[in-house]
Amino acid sequence: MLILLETMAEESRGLTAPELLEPLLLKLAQGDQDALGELYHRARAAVYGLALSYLKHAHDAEDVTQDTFVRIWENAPRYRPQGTPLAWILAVARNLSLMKLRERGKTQDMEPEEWDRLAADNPLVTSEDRQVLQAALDGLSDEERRVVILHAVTGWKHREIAQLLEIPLATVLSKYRRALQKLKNTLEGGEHI
Amino acid sequence: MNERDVEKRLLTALEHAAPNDLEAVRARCGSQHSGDVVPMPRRKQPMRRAAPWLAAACLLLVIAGGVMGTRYQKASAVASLVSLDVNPSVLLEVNEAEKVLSAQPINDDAGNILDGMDLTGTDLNVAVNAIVGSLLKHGYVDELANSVLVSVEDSDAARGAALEEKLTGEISQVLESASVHGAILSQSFSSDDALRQKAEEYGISMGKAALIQSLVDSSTHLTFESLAGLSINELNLLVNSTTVQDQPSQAGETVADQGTITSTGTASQSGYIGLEAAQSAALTHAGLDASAVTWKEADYDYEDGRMVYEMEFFANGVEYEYDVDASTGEILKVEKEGAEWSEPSGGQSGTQTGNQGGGQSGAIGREAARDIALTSAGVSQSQVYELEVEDELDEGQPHYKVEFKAGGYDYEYEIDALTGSVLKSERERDD
Repeated sequence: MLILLETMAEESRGLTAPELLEPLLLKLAQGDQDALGELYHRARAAVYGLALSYLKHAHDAEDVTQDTFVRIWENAPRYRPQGTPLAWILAVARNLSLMKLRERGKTQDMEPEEWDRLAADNPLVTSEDRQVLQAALDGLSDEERRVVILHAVTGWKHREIAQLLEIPLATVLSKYRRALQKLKNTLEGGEHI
Repeated sequence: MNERDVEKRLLTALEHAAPNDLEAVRARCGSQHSGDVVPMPRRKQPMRRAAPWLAAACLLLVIAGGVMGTRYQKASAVASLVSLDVNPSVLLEVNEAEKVLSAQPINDDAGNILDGMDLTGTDLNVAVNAIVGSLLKHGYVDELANSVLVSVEDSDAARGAALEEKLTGEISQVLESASVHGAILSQSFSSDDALRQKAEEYGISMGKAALIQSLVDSSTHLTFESLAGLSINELNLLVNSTTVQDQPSQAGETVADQGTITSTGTASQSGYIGLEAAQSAALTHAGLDASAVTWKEADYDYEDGRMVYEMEFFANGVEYEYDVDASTGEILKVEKEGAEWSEPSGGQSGTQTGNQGGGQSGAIGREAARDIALTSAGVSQSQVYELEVEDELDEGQPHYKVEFKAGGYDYEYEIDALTGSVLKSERERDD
């Protein structure tokens, strides 16, 4: 099982590997619009996933995703290569998500009809996708959701996740296990459809 | 389905649901910032490990705050800082609408209390309920240590005071519903840089720092450093103690009586031997019977790193001062002032004074002069303290000067050394 999950993590890492993102950020710093396109393609799911895990609201998460890439573009000249470009990007996304939460005052959960609209607006989103997203948003605690989504979209080690979320490593480990088990149970049980 | 499948499905769903509108991003991408340095705000909490990406992200947040700040200013502006202290200390940033903007643990214990709770965006009263509930659940508030400190830091004094009162009521209700006889200390104050510096230095909340400062200000023997490690329950006992203040404006006044701190309920004393046991230990040590003793003070204090009962009492003209360890009953300090009646005049340790033994031929003697004065004043020996008898035998009319205190009055008598008649008597209120 662990080997399989590690393979999975490798796949996630492949899309956003430091050796791929770092040169893109350096090009962004020089105003390269093509580099922005590629960065967006590689990191948008990770940024959106993290934003959604904080905001629990598809529309707000989309806004934060767009805002994040605009900030990255504007501030790329300040980026200093540290070997952790995705962490830098996601830290921006996290901060913007927290600001969005403060702006709106409280967490707004997605109503069932909003999920339907999400599916209608975006033909890529299948009913299977809706099911797993709803299970993650409704059935998990905030920390469980953040940990499992971050792991899924980044393939990071738990230590790196603990650093970004500013929570203890032990918490990440326990939340991750519990979250996966809960999701598995929900999906197999067919709940939240 | 295995766990890998679950995670894979989640990733796929997010890839599908993530926005794919590069053009919208490009349309907003104007000029880039140059490399000039934007100063970083100082973090309130020490960073465990300042990862480079986090520093970079903070930098971005400063910039983003400038751009987006005005729009969010109202909702995101911190109006009040509310801290809840037991041993765990939690700081809540609250906006004008009394919504929680952030909840921060001030110490390690508070991490357990906040674990799994996302209080951002919730109403303050809901957040306070949740935190106190968690404190109860984790056993931080019980009959052994039942004190909670709620502090409101607000530049608007009226708003701070109103919030303080509201939260005290809220916490009181939560404790009552859990059948805990809680004791709540509450205070509101405005920002104070010197205090903030101390709070940071000792790793405690501003609220606890303000409470400690009130105690330190009212006493010459308490130091900030010595109190920083005490629990709120211990501080509550001191705040409500009549012996902590060195110079109270009124006898029996406590720090809580001064008005900056409101005290509700009684702090738990279950961890200590109790005042009666301490009094008994002191009297046994002094070899005195309770009936011969007039108590001046007896309450909690903090001496040399220990909670103590500090006691002052009078018996047979001697003033006694005892410190008894509040946990063990051990006698830590004994001081006696004044000579006992049975001792020879001009005694070794006391304030009773005289010249060469006062042995003028035909003089009635100090003890007789004392007795005459007490009889004249209508007070018994056990009621008297700070007694002084001086010989004035070389004067034109030889006499004894007898001064003492009793029943809230200062007395001064002059007794004729030869006849025992009262030459002068004065009585005035002892302030």
